[in-house]
Amino acid sequence: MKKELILEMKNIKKNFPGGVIANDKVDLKIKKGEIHALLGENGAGKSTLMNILYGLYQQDEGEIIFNHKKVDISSPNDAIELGIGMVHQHFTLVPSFSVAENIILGLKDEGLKPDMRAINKKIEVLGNKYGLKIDPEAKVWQLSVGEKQRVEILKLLYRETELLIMDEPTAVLTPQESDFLFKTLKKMVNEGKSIIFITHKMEEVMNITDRVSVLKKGKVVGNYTTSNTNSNELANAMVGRTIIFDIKKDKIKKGTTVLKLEKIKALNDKKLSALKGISLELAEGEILGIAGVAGNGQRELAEVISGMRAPYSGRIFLKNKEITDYSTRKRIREGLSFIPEDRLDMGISPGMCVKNNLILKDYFNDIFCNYGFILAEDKICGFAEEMVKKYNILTPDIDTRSSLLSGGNIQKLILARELSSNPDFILAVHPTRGLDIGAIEFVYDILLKERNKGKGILLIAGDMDEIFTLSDRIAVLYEGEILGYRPADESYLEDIGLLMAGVRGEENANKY
Amino acid sequence: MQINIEKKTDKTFYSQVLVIIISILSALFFIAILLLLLGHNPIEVYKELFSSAFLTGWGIVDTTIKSIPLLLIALGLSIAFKMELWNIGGEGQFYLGAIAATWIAVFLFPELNSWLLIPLILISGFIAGAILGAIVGVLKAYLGVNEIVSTLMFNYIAIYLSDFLVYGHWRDPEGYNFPMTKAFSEQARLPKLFNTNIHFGLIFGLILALLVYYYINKTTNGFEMKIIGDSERTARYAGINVKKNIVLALLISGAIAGFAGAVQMAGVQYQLQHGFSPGYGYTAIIVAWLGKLNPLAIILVSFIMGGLLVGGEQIQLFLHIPLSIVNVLQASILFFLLAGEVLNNYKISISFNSELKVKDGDNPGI
Repeated sequence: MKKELILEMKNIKKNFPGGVIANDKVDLKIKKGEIHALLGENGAGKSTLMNILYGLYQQDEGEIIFNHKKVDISSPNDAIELGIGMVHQHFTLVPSFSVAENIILGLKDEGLKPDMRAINKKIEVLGNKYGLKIDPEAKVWQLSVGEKQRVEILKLLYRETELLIMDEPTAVLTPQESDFLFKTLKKMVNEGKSIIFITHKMEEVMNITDRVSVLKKGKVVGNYTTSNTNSNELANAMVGRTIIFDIKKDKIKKGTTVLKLEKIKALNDKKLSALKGISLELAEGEILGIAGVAGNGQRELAEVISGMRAPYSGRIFLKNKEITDYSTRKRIREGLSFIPEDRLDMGISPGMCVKNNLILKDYFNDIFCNYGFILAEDKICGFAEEMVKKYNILTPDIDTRSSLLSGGNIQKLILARELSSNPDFILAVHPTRGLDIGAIEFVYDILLKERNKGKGILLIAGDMDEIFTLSDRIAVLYEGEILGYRPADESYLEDIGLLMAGVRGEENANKY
Repeated sequence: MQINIEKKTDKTFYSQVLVIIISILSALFFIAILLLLLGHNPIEVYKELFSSAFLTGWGIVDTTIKSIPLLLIALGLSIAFKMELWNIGGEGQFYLGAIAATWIAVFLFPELNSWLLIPLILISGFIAGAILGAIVGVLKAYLGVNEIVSTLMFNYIAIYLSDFLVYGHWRDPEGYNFPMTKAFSEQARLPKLFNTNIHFGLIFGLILALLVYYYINKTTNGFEMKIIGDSERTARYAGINVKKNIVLALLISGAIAGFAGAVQMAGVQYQLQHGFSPGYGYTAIIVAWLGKLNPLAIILVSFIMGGLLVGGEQIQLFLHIPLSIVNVLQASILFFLLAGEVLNNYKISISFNSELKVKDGDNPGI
């Protein structure tokens, strides 16, 4: 009965500058009246594909057929006109406007003085039909996150959208709000709408979708009918890996505990719970990999450990010394090193030159300044020259603005600085993201050398290859909790994939 | 059609200087049109303006005197601006410094000898400005109050406080009811230089320019401020105390402007009076910006801007052109400069392909 296709994306290809292939010959078919999940790790190409469909990007190759017609979508306006709408993770509402004003915002046929009463009426009718009850006259800033999302959906329904793209809609919702959303989505497909549902959560895929497409590294690796598959099969398709590097690791020589977290709880920037009681221990000479889909608390975890975000409960120990209340600088002095995720906006001061970035954490030490406050130019230059040579940083000279360096060389600069202080513990977050193969190998090599020297390394990464290549143990972070530990062994790949999608197996008793 | 704006990474010293020169020329051209509409010959006006300010002996003296407060205040502002803290309260801090200086010189210790009195006057101005700056800094760092709004508001408070005093308790009973205080005693006045009216403030300005340059470029604290100005997240990551530095930068910035107020009192005015500043605190913003926050360039720019003030008075006197035209000229220089900086910092290209460009470094969200 529901066999008719509403959308067909054929052979879609999209390259980004720098040789990144975001979509490689992707085919996607969406039927009328279905909820279709797009599943995949970060960087699998889901968002790019949807941005192409919504007109934010244009495909390099391939075509889009919507309602049996070949269409050319060059802007979101084109998409909306065709009946394709998208609910982004970050809402696009004007807080000081009312719900109704937000809904009609941008509609051309409303004229200069819209008939608000008729519009309110129409919104109420729509709301009743789909179970999206909301007061059209309420101001958006007064609404909860769940209600704001309802406004976004109503906005699309008001424009008679036939195909709705939902980009991780439950990421910002409470469980109750999510349940409510799912009911609404069911009602919408019963009314003949179609929904593309981007998610990382296996439970949602199994519960509410009709079909699933799994993307991996820019390609569709499988299409499934939800009722004919299971979470294990999907997890396997999602994380299945191909080995790029064959790096031999020395046998682990575990020492005493270097970092210990005890029931750490912390909020994110939106004041929502991001870490819900994390405990972990890391020994000297060990690399503990934290696997997980981005947005499950990785950023907050790194900030809490480095001292940039205060936890509201729990304790942190570095070499058996409690550092929970230590400032960032005090932690650095205690031997904490941090290779941050955000290289350009955190790892370096982009407008400053190479040599100044190399002393970013040490400029106040006696080795670099005289009388405690005057920078000793000659000593700084000597050190910088030495680092540039030792870490093979390609730069015209040490006075070059560091933002002019390539990504790989910026990372080398950061490594040089972070390791020159001879730390006991290294926190590395996405240390190779966006780097070319040569630079990746360099970073791996350096991190493994540090491990063999007896440093404890906490590796937070999204890339499964990286986690498996470097780690001695793997912990899976999901919604601010560590769901379990697994050995870094191929045979646990599927298991880890399931944990990343929030499925706790019955065997999950933290036995490793 | 799509307009793309990308950040340029290859700013050269040459292009930066070019922007300054072009913006000044554009402003002169723009004002020339205004002058034509007013029925004046712009070339004649400009000739009078520049020759009176820079080519006559008394003109140079006058220009120098007017450039001293500009130089001092702009040096203070440049420290805050380096950290991207937009202190536009130079005027208020200048007034408060002048009030403090007057209080010391006229009301507290009028009879003290110069060796004690003058340092006391200068320090009082310094402290008054520092307090005002520190208040703004604390509000900004700990309560998130926008410093632009708070410094602007404090300008009114300081200016009206000064009016309140000179129209009230501090009014000179023998001053024929003019809104001004009694004059500073001889001991409270700064010495003059080179047998001219140029006062010792010039030396202070030049020394301070060197100090500020050294502070920003050679000390650990200046290093911290530059990092914070460049990327606050990087600073926090490196363990730099951002809040402390915000307070400190605004405090120093205010202190120097307050010091300028005291210097102006002891060097030129010798009495607090209604409206004694022709907007030095605001003009100094332009000076700091034209000088690219470089203390040595600021010396030169403040001299040019001081000249505009002197020349403006001349064309008012001899050509009957309102002095306000100079304010309009200054303002339009800043406008053209800001516009020019956008052009210098960003590459703007127009393409007729509506595809959204993904810039290097942006996460394309794949």
